[in-house]
Amino acid sequence: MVRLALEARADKLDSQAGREGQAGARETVSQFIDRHIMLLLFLPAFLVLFLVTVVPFLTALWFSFTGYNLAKPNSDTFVGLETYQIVLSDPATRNALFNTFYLVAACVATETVLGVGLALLLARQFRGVRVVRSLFLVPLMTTPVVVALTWRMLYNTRFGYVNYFLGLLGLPTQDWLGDPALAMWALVVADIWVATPFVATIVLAGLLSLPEEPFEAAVVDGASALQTFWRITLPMLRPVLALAIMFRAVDAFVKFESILIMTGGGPGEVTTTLNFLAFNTGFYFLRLADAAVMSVVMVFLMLTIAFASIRWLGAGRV
Amino acid sequence: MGYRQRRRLVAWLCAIIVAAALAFTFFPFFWLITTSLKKPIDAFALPPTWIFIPTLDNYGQVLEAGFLKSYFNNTLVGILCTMVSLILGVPAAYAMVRANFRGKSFMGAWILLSRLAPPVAFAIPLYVLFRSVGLVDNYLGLTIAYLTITMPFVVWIMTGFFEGVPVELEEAALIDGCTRLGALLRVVLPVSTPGLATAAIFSLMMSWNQYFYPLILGGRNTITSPVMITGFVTFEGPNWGKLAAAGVLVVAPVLVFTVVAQRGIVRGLVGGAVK
Repeated sequence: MVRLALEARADKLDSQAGREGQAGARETVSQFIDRHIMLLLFLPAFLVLFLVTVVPFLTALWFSFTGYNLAKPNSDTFVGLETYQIVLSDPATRNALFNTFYLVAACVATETVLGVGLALLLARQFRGVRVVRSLFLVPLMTTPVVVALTWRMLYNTRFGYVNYFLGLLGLPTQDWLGDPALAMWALVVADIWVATPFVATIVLAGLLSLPEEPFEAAVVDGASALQTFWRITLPMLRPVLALAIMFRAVDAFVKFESILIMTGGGPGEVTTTLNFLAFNTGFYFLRLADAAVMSVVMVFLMLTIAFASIRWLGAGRV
Repeated sequence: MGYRQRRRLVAWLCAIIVAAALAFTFFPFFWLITTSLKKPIDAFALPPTWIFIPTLDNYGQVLEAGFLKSYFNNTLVGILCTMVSLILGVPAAYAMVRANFRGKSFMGAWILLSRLAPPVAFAIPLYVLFRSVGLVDNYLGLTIAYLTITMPFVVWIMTGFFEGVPVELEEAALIDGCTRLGALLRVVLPVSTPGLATAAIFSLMMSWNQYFYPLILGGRNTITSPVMITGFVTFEGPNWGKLAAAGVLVVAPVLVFTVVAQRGIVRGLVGGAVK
C-alpha cells in the first residue's frame, strides 16, 4: 500500500513537472528523455545484442540451407535441406553426437555426485572453512587452455606424473590420451577437476540459504542423517541442482579447449564431439554450410536440455 | 563408541577427505609452477626432482618469444569488451527490472539463450562477415565477438542484483526531484557497486580466458596469450618448462583476481538462483 501511494505521488510529481516543462522549450529534450528513460536505457543494449547474437545466428541458419564452402566459389546458394540430409546421414556426425552425449552424461553424473558431496563437507563448520571454500574457486577461473595443457603433460605416457603415481602404487601405467578406451575418461577426469568445485560452490550457496526449521524438526523426529539428506536436503536443493546441472550439461556440450589440446578429437574419432566436429568442418575443412547445420542442431539440442532441466527439476530464476 | 567420539571420528574423516580434494585440486598448480622453474633436465626427470635449483630461464624464453605483446592484446580486448558490456548492459538490466514493457520477458529468455548458444554458431557467420569487412585480426572484431559472451552475462548478473535494490530508494530520490536517470546514476548505481564489480570481474576474466574466438578471428597482430601458448606446443616441440612458464603468466592475474574477489565470484556463479 505504501508503495502504491508513493508511486501515485511520483506520478503526480512527474505530471506536474510535465506541465511546468511545457512552458519552456528548453526542457523538452530532458523531458522526452525522462519520459522514455527505460526504453532509452534498454535500446542500445538491445540493438547491440541483436547485432552480435541474433543476426549471426540467423546468418548461420541461412548458411545451413546453402552449400557454402569457402574452398568453392559461388557455393553460397540456396539448396534447401540438402546439406541437412548430407550432414545428418554422415556416420561421422552420428559418432560425434554419440560422443557428445556420452561426454555430457559422464561429466554431469560424476560432477553432480562429487559436487554435492563436496558441498556437504564444506557446509560443515570447521576452522578455516572460509579459506577452504574460496580455495575451491581457483580451478573454475583458471584459463581453460592452461588447464588443458597442464593435464596433457600430466597424462604424458613417459614423463607424466599420473603414470608416475600409478607406478608408485604398483598399478599398471596407461597411455591415457592415446588409448581409445581411456581417452574420453581422461577428458572427463580433467573436467571433474575443473567443474566439481563449480557444482559444489552452487550447491553450497543453496545449502547455506536453506531454512533451519525442517532440519530441527527432523532431529526432533529422530531422523537419521541419511534420511534427512534424502528426504529434506535434496528435495529442497532441487532448484539449485537444476541450475548447476543445466550449466554443466551446456558447458560440457561445447567443451572445446581440452579436446583440441589434449586429444585433438582422437584417437581415431572417439573424443570428437559435435562441437569439435563443427569447428573442424568449418574452420579446417572450410565447409561452412555443414558446420552451420551442426551448430543449428546443437542449438536445438541445447535448448532441449535447458528446457528439460528447468521443467523437470523446477529451476527458479535462471 | 560414545556420541562425542563418533562425532570426532566423523570430523576427522571429513577433514581428511577435504584435504585430499584440496591436494587433488592444487597438485596441477604445484606441478605447473615448479615445472616453470625447472631446467629441461629436471622437468623431464622421473622420479621427479622435488628439490632443484630454480631458474628463470623459461620465463626469459617466453618473454623473448614476444609474449608481452599477446599479454597486452589480452588486456586491451578484455578491457574494451568489459567497458562496452557494462556501459550497455547495466542500464538495460536496470530497465528490465524496473520497467514494464512488451518484450521484457522475451529479452530475458533471449539473454539466457545467448548464454547457452554454442560459440561455433556465432563464429561461423562472424568469420564470414569479418573477412569481408576486414575485421579479422582486429581488436574491434575480437571485442564484438567477446560481447556475445560477456553482454548477456552482465545483463544476467545485474538484473539479479537490481532486483535486490529496494524500489523505495529510487522513489525517495524521485520525490526529492531527481530525474529517473539521476536516480539511477546517483542512488541505484552507488548501492550496486558490489554487483558492478562482480560483473566487471567476470567479464574481464571471461575475455581473458577466451580461446575459441581469438583462435578463429584473431591473427598475428591481435594474438592473445591463450592462443600464443598453444603455439609453443605445435611449432617448437614440447618444451615443458617454457609452456609451464607461459601458463603461469596467463593464469597469475586470474588467480590474483580470484583471491581478491572471491565473494563476488560466488555471487556471479550462483547468479539469481540463491537469494
